[in-house]
Amino acid sequence: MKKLLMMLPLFLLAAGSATAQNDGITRFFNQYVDDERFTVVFVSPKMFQMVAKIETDDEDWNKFRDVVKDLGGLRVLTSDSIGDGIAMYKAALSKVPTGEYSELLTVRDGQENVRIWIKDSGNIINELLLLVGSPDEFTLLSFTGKIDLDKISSLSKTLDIKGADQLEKIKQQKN
Amino acid sequence: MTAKTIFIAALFLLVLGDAHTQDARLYWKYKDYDGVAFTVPRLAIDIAAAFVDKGEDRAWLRRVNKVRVMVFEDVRNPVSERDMRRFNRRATRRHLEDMVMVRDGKTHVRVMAKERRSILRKVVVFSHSPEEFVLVTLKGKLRWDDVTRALKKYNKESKEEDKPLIPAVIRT
Repeated sequence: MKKLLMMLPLFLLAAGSATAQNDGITRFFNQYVDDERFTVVFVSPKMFQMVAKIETDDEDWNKFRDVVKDLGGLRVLTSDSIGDGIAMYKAALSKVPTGEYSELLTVRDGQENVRIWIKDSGNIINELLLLVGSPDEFTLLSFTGKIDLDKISSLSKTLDIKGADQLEKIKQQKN
Repeated sequence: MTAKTIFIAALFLLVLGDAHTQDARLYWKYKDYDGVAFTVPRLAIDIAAAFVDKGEDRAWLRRVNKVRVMVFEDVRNPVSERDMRRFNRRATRRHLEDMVMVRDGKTHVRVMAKERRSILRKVVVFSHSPEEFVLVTLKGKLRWDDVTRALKKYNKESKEEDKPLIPAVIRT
């Protein structure tokens, strides 16, 4: 019993550190979720599960379903008329636990910065994080679930969200 | 009346009050404000279902128990922030989960749902801004086949009318 009691705090500590992995980014997202300068999109894992259950013979829908069926969730924080986009980008950048993510892509074009990170276990990508910052634009996009990079880049057109077009760069980089 | 009876009665009322569904609370509080608010009860849905030609559509309709609509348009949104916060708290407690949430400026769109054993028990759609408030609640026992069928129908109609496949709610 004593042993069990001693193990409990250890277990709690381990569980705490596992959930705190992307806490910085979650906190950053939550910090601006009510800020009216930003557009916020949240799609729950359950919504993706629901979409995956819907079967139709419509080709477009089936393509969309094929892409989202393994996704766990989507969060987007974006603004295209923000004065301090670069500062926001830097602030978000400092919250990314770089030890846990591997950098997939970095692009700097003039004052526009694009960074994409992934978190993977074996051959499966569990999380994708996209950060875009320019003087008047900022986008933070986070996908969770089983992610197929080829499929996710095709989602950029469907999403129609500012900054999501940067996902196309994954495909370009692969080619 | 003994103190015990009063205590039990108060406890019962408290439980009853809490059991009152989250969106229903909002509806009953604001339904008499200057706007549109109505409830379509099961009986009305069953009568409407009787006039539907296709058997499949009829069966789908019969699985809907209640539809509640409340709209405030062209007036100041009377629903207070406090009531919305209270709604959020109760919704989480009652397993009403956020499916999609989009906020653009002061406009907020939310789709929430309660699912149990792969059956959709409730869908709540909110859209609110300082000038507008829309609440649509659908209660029933909808199966995924029903949603698929409704989507197929929507796809067919949207192709004819050239509407986008993905609803505007998840596009920014």
